[in-house]
Amino acid sequence: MAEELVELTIDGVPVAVPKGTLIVEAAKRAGVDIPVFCYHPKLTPVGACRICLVQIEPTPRLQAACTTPVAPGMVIHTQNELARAGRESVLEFMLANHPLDCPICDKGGECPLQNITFAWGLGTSRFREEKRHLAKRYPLSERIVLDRERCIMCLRCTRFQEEIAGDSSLVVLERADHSEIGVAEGREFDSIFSGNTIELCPVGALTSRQYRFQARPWDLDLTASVCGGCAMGCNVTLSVRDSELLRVSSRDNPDVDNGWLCDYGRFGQVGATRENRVTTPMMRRGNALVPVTWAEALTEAATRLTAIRTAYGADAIGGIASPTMPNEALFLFNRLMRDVVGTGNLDHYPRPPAPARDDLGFRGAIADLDTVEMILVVGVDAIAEVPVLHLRLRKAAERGANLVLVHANPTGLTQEATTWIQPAMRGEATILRALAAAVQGGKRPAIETVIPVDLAPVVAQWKAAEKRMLLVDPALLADPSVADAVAALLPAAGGPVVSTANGRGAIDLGIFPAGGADATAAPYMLDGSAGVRGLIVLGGDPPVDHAETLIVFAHHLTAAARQADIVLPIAVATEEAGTLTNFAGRVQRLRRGPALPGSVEPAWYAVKELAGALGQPIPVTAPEQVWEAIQQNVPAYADVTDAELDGVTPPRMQTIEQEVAD
Amino acid sequence: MIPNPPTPFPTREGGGNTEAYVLSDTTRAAIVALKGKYPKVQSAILDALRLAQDEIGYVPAEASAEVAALLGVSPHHVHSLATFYTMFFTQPVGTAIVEVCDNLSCALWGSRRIIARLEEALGIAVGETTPDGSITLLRTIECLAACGGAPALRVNTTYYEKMTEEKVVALVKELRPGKR
Amino acid sequence: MASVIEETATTTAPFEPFLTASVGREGAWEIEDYLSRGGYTGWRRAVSELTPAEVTDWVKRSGLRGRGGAGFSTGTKWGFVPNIPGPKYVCCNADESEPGTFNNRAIMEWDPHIVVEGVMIASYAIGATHSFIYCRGEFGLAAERLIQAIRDAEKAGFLGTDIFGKGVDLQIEVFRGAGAYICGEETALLESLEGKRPMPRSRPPFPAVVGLYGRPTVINNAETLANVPFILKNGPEWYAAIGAAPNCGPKIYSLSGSVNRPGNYELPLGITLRELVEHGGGMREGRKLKAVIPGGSSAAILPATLSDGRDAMDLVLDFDACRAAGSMLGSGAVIVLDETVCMACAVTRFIEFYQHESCGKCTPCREGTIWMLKILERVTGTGGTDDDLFLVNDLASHIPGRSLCLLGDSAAAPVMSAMEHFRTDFDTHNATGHCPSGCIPF
Repeated sequence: MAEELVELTIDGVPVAVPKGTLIVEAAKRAGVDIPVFCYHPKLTPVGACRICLVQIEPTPRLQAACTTPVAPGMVIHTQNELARAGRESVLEFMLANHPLDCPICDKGGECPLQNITFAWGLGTSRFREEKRHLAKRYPLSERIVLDRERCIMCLRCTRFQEEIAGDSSLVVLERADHSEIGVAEGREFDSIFSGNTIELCPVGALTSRQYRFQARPWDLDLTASVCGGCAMGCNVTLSVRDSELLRVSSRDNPDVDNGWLCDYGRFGQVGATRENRVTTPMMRRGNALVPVTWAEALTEAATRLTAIRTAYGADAIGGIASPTMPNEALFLFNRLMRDVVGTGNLDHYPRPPAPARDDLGFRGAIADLDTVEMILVVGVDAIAEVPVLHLRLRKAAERGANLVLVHANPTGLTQEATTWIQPAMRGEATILRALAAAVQGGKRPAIETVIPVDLAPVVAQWKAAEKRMLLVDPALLADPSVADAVAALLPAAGGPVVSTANGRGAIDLGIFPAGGADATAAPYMLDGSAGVRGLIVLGGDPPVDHAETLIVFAHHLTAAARQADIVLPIAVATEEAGTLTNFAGRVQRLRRGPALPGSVEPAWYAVKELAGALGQPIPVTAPEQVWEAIQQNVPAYADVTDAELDGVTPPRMQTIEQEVAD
Repeated sequence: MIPNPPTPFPTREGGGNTEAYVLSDTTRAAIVALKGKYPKVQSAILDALRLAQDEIGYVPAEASAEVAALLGVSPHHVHSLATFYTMFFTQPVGTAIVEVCDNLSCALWGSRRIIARLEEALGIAVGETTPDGSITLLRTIECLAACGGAPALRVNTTYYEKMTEEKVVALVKELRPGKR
Repeated sequence: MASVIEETATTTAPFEPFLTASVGREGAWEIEDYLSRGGYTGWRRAVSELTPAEVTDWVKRSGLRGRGGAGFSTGTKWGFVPNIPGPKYVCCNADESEPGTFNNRAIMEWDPHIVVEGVMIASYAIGATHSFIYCRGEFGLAAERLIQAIRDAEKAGFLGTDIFGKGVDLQIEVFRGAGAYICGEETALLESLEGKRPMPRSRPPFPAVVGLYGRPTVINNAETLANVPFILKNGPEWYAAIGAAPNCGPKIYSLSGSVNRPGNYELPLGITLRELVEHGGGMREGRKLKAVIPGGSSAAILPATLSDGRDAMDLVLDFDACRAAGSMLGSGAVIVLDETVCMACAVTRFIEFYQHESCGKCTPCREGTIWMLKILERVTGTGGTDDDLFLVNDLASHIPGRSLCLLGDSAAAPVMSAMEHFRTDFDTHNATGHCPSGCIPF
């Protein structure tokens, strides 16, 4: 469908843009810089701040470029006397009551208000009155603090919470010059998406309590990476000063996160580099774990594993990997267990109860949510499991997609859904089977749930929809009849939403017991029933009930690590280089932000070292080499390009979509 | 793996304290009944806040949270509206709110003298409430739309026009407790 | 507040007020009373005899122009509503809060049915089946009377489903505000009605296309709509003959300030200020005119001698003449100021109002009004400087056309006009630290 183009000129530059484009966006195409504060391409334009005033011939009354759509033949001026005077006066008004406390403001250095004042302001103020005094350090939550004097009422934060997060958990209180951002009395700013407002804030009004007064932006090293918090794989920018991770911010990838992060990813990952770390190899001496060198730990591990293998055979050894580990570590762990140790006792934990079937892989991409007509969500509670997926589902519902939710309990999406089917216990499986049968043209089986459900409308909608997506809780697939049902529905896009950070990678890389043997699945290795005497745990914190020898590659001093005989310290996601695969099968690159603390090593390296200690060195020296090996060995990953791995946005300061002329 | 999730997931809208209701069953029922009045439920917030204020005399935080829960909207948003509109009081006020119009047309007919007389008769300043909690004296910034009867004032919802110093003194006597 | 029956210079036939004829008459708000006066004849005719397009055409031909301030052709405004399926709405703007304006309250309290019938006819004309009267929160009695009127009209079969057996459905709700001048701005009114913070929207899109709940919407002032039943009852030509085209029909002038009998005076559009003041019993205590605000506080203040040298008493009070004189008829709220009034104090009071009523959304209005107020409070308090006066005037000039809605322009107009015409009042404050006239006891 050809877009209807509108031709106009901005500051003498001719430009053609699709009908309906706002002037502020058309100006970007024309290479003309129009300053903005309240405008944000992902939020509804409000025309509040007025900094983007431009003149459109022949009207002398200025128009807001952020709310005025283009019209054919428009002649727009951003630099003439009228526009300049308008902009300067708006800036003068804006700064009149602003505290100008830039030297102690976290935003200083990456502040649109600072930059725009520098680029467009008069440099003087005629304001001689007492400035307005409002709360300077108002704690909105344990994550976010508000400086009400700095706020310029751009309403980005409140629009984000209303339009994107959908919870209106941050609002404007009062009116006129004492308007202020806030929450209901006695409440907190209690949204798990609250951190996005810090990035959206074009001044230093909303700041992170975690990052507050930690650094100046110009002292930060920025690294493009991916969040290792869940299976969404949101793209992130890691801000590091003096080798320490100080903050995590978004890095817009329209195919994945749309520029948003949840507070777990944003704040939790910083805490994860600091608290409760294991920073040195340790060995058990009596009841205590004592620090040792890598060489001592590896030698001891190899000695013990070799002894077990000699005495009881290789199958007395088992390996359990966390599905949060990067692909590189998982791939080498697979090699370690199968080729070096020589056993098929390998699994990841936690994982969906049944190994993947080829016909149950995720089809299409997350971004298909922007175009599909119907979305069927079965058993997935996105806001709890993959929070940013919740935002994309909300957005789809807002644009009018038919969102059908099958979930026993109310979820964050209940209010957004077109239809919410609330089955009784395990009723999701019944409904999937019935749906598949009906779609396949068979007779619709009766639905034996507590709440009688008439599936006919949903079946009809599913059949009628041209583009549709199915998102299903992978736990349901343990039942082969459900797996068959899902497979039958999966000519549609979608598939299981494996929620652990690299759960999909673990499946793709075959971190399963040999031959899919149930008897040696992770739970049985953990409780001792699989006959495993020596257990190697890579990351995570599986509940180990029984192991004669327990070797744990640990990033934190977890319960498993405390039980271990040998602890080998490994990196967390923000310290790793490698790749993660999100639930939709998109492989993305992790880059190391902060330095590795103590004698911590990347997981892939630590695994490789253990293989070496066992006498079979794996000849790789960098994670990129491991990735090459993965591409050669895993067909699904053969064609992944560097562009896909890296995402679309370079790492950047903590201000979304600000472009200011030098 | 992220070991320290920031805080628990938020409860959905209206998850406030439900143990002790501050509104009566009648008011709660009336608020719930508002749900069908408008094409969208959010439109009913002002009506609901008015019902709450009619019962309690003002809108404490617990009341706006209850309104939010009953209508199924964000408690923060309800609070936002309660603080925007001047007719809602988030702090306690007197049983009778005496609001003297002090915009230009009334000022030209002596509203400032009326206010001074009321302050004297009530023993309080504008913005204050008598110690017995019976009368709050306010001066309006807005025009009361009674310029033809300047100077005008309102006592709660009732307009009094063409006021004189004598008339307001008599009015104060009427408003004193026991007289109403 | 008695209506005034008077022959005027611009009409040859004697003018019988009809909008305020029942104001002040006990029981006039009852439906029986209204029916005995021929009430709902226009509604019946519209539904029974005319198509919606014909109704719009009648209103266009009547020459009725919006009484809320803009003076735009009401019929033309209705004609902007696209003929598309789905809900459409009529919102009657009865949030009368412009300082100096008090005619909506009068007609709604005494004769609510004329407003309700006007809403009905407008709804029919644009195809709305669910309409709203946005009643100012302070107007408790008016809201009560409107609600009763609607209930009685429902009982009489004028509202509901299949009205007059013509397949027309309509329900009307009274929506009560809660204390915010900005809700008189039509897009803020829509936001308020939707339960959002009443902050004006950017235009385009215009409410006729994207209005209440995102649907096509007509917003008319209560006084405007009160005229409509009479147009339908007596015909557009009858209506157009009142006043002097293109300023047709009667206007309820809300006369206040320094006159002996402030009040609502319903007169044909086009009378002069002198005539209106005479209706109001002349200047208070025989004082001389100093200034007049012809259209509520948002209109520019005109001095006793107009810029073209004419006596302001000769100003014709219609939409076009007021605009030509550098101000506007606005809501028809004529505030008369006599020689004892200090314009610096008067303007400061207005700015206090606009500052308080700024919604806070856009920068120039939010910051500009408080800045101007701080300077003006100093000037009228202990006295300021020439620089203060230059700055306040300059700030005022930076707000119009840059704020999101017209509240900013409205706040600037009195400041700039007072500074232009009454600079000496400000200078005296600065020089003496006291009010020059000890005028109104501010």
